[in-house]
Amino acid sequence: MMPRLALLLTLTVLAAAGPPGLRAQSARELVASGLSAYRAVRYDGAVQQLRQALNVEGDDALPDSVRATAYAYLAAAEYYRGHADDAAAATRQALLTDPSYRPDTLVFPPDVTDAFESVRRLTRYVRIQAPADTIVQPGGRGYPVRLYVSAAHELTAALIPEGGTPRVFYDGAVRDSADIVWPALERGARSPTGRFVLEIRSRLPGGGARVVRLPLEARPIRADTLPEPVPPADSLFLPERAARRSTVPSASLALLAGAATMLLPTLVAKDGVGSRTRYALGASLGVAGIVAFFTGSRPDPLPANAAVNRALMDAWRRDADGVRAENERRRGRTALRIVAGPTASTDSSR
Amino acid sequence: MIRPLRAIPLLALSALAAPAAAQQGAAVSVTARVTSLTMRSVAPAGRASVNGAILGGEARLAVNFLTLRVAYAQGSLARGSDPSRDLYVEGSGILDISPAPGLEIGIGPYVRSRVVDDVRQRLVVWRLRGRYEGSVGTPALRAWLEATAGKPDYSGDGFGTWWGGSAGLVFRPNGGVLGFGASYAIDEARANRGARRETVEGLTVSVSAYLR
Repeated sequence: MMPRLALLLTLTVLAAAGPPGLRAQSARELVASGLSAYRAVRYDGAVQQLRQALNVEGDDALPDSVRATAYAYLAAAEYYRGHADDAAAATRQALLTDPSYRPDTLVFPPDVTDAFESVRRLTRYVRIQAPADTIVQPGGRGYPVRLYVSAAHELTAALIPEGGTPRVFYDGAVRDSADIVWPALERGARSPTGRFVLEIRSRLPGGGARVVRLPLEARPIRADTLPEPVPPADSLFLPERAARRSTVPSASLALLAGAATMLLPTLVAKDGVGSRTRYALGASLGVAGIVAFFTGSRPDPLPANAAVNRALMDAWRRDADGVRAENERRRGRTALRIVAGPTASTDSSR
Repeated sequence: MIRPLRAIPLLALSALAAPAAAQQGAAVSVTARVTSLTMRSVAPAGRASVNGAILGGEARLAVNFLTLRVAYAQGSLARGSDPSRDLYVEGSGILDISPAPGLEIGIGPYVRSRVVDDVRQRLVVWRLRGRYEGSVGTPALRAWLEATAGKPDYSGDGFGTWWGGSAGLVFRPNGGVLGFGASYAIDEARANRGARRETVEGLTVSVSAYLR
């Protein structure tokens, strides 16, 4: 309460220092005049000055911080004038302007503060304080919303997509204020985009509800993806086959192996005896040699070069897979920019 | 009675080690083979011949110019019409270096054992081997030649010399995982200028799995 009092005193001093009569009084000056009249026990004048100040609209209109205090002084003046209904209406306006407003017990006498309290207890006003423009990161806290209430009551907070069904994310009692969070980017859930309404629905004691709505617009902010690595240039690959060679060596090898198969017993064993079945193997080798000689030899593979090429391609594939996975991760980690509009409320009888 | 094949755990071990070796840029293959084996013995007391099929396997690990081969085979050999059979086991290990493409020169132990009437005859040879392998017409078909020589240490009787040779071919369609081979091998150990000798020859068919 002290900062508000200081603000009003400042307004009073500024108003008194200004040249009166030279121009129309501003809303702040009217408030200062109203407060002076109130202190001078000129309640009719105070009511007139304060109502004038509170009716000012446009750029010169009073800010909410001053407006609630002005309504409180108006309520006190009406109270002392014996206009209880007007005093209650001014009290409700003060709380509607700022649900967390409470009259300073050092400034207002107990009968005024008691009257204020008796009206306040029956009100169900809610003010939403939320970031006007913020970015919600995946895995972060979500979109924070602070609720100020005029009196303790039950309420629900729901997010309603444009043309969609409401999703309640808070349902419970709030005493003075509460911090609730819209988990805008839940793990595994689809990223919400488009227009939404954050709806605070206060349950009224006699049934019905008072609703405060905050329009929101959510836009995805996609992280930049990485470029995919280009495949290795052809010049980096080694030849995987040797240059074509003469067929003579390979044919000779087969013929020699065939001959060896047949002649080995003679060369190795003293008696020169060997299995006759070996002739079939020897003949097969010989035929393979002859066929190789006449059909030509295919170049021999170079497994070491093939391994180098394979490693090159494997490394590129690994890099490409890594980049794809990272890009997929980045696409999945889309942040959300949330812009809030002006609050609107549907006021009920209280 | 034939004991369980020892080749199976050898091949299984090789297959398990293959992924780790392959990560080091090594070439790994395992081979299962069946050999029709004939063993002829000549001694002053007379001649004997036994034959039968043995089953075995080989694991091969090649890193750069070095190749390590470990092989094992086992089977039972029949003595003509005699109903009793001899247990035959052979194993080898050899470390090759490749001074030129296709050419390998290696050294390693070769052991074979035959149990005749509960008496074990064992031949242990430190052998030197030269091998040349090359493609025949197409990279899928390869032929090879091998010559071996060594100094045997034959328990009981002292063989003075041992040598042998083999040749064969391998068909590996499209450079794929599997290769199919056939080979012929013969070796002979001699003592007393050939008065006592033991000749072993075998025709082998094999299936190889090239794990890398």
